[in-house]
Amino acid sequence: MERKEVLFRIKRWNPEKGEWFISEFKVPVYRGMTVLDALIYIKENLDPSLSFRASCRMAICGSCGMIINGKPRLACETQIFHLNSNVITVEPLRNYLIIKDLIADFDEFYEKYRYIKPYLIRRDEDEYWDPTREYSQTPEEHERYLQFSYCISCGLCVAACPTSGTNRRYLGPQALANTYRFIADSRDEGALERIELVDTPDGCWGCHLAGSCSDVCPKGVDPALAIQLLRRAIAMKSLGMAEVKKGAKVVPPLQVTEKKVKATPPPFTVEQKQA
Amino acid sequence: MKESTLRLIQYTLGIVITIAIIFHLQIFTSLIGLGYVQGLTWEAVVSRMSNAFYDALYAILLFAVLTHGLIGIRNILYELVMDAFKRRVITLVLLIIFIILFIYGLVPIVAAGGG
Amino acid sequence: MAEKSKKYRKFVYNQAGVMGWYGSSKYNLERFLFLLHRITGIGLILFVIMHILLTSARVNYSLWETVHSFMETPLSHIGMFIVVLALLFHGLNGLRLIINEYGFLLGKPKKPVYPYRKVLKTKGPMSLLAIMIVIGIILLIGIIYEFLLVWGVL
Repeated sequence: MERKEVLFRIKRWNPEKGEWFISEFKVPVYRGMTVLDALIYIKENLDPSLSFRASCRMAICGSCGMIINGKPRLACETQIFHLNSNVITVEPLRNYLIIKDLIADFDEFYEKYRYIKPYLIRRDEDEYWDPTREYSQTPEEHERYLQFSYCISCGLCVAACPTSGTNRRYLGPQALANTYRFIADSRDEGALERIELVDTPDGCWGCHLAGSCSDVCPKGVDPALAIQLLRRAIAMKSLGMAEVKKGAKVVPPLQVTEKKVKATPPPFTVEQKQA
Repeated sequence: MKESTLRLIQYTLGIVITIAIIFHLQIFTSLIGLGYVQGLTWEAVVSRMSNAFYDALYAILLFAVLTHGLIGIRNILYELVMDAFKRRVITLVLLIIFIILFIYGLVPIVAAGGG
Repeated sequence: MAEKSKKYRKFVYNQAGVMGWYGSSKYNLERFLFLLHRITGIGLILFVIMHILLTSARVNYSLWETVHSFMETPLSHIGMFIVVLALLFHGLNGLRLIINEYGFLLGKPKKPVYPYRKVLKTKGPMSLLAIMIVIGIILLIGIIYEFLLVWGVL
């Protein structure tokens, strides 16, 4: 197996002194080793005070986002040999509050996500609170928003976005992609409320199509496409050309059989003890 | 005014500018116009000032470029400043700059067109 | 949760700032086109303000003569050349942005299958970019020819 030694240069935040510092470690790596494996090696063998977040180690939970060699990536799916370098710089995510070392605080991120109402909104109260059956949706209607529902809220897109770099109030590509995911869902009837929340200079009009969010997304969610389709929806509505559809209906009840059949239990397969 | 209508105005004016700039710059090309040196002599300038087509062109171009550019500057400044009060001050200052420059640029067009 | 511990520990808001508009050299091309669009935009509006103030001098002959003699200097020629280049880039990139930002030519959302597609690298936006580059090169040749005529080289 191919092996070499790689220098890790980690930029860490010290919360007690309130300053940045850089730690350097030499780590023996083999082909197929990820950055997360290297960080765990450092924590177990070289410096136990190194703090970072990681959970599933298979790019589905979104905990281990950090900036590796200049670009925001997930540490568990970045292979060291694919970076083609003998020096690897690791920094915490940009545009977040940093608590310690490589750990970023996601409170603001979740607040922006809650702000755009990430749940289905319906007008018929009875069905909403006392559901009888599921809503109907064709595969074509499903395909209109399916791609944007794969978001794992890892926060890499907000770290890469140039607008989020200077505007702390900007909602971010994650919240805006999820706004479009709910507006395009045929089961949802709350499009007008959400459009009002997002039609501001800090909402979808803060995007300038740099496209870095789609470039770094680990799940292929493509927030750039979602935001441009959201803008088209808002523009069509403000010009009066949008068609407002009612939400999807509930599935009709199953057909009830007319013929009553007397049900008999199947024969025993095990010998019965005579009580 | 909603942000979506403001952006629609800016993009429409962008297209208007693209068309008007072609007419503004064709005078100074040597293939389809008078050329850079010939187009800037005093006689050429006077002949354009009394031409109704160029009067209208300059008025439209002045309005479109000032509006488009100042809305752009407002967008850049809104990204750097987050306080709501400062943002309103910025919009007011840019509006005043627009009015001053528009009137200043309209003076030669109106004066020459009338006289 | 993070706010409560602020008394005992100092946190930092790791904002990228204006340098974040550039980011790092590993990002995609469209991000740098956006940065150049902003820089040319600021340059052009400053030029336009100066241009309005200068060309309003055509109200009488003596003022016009002063302005005209300034425009004959080689510094003014080079400045005009740079401004026309900036206008060419800003206009063509702006047309590309207007088309893409309202969702035209971007295609429909599709289920993501690895390797994931990035919408700005699909054939719609890329062919628009290629068309704009070709138009830009053709106009650039014309502009360089005109300026060489003015400078007396040709």
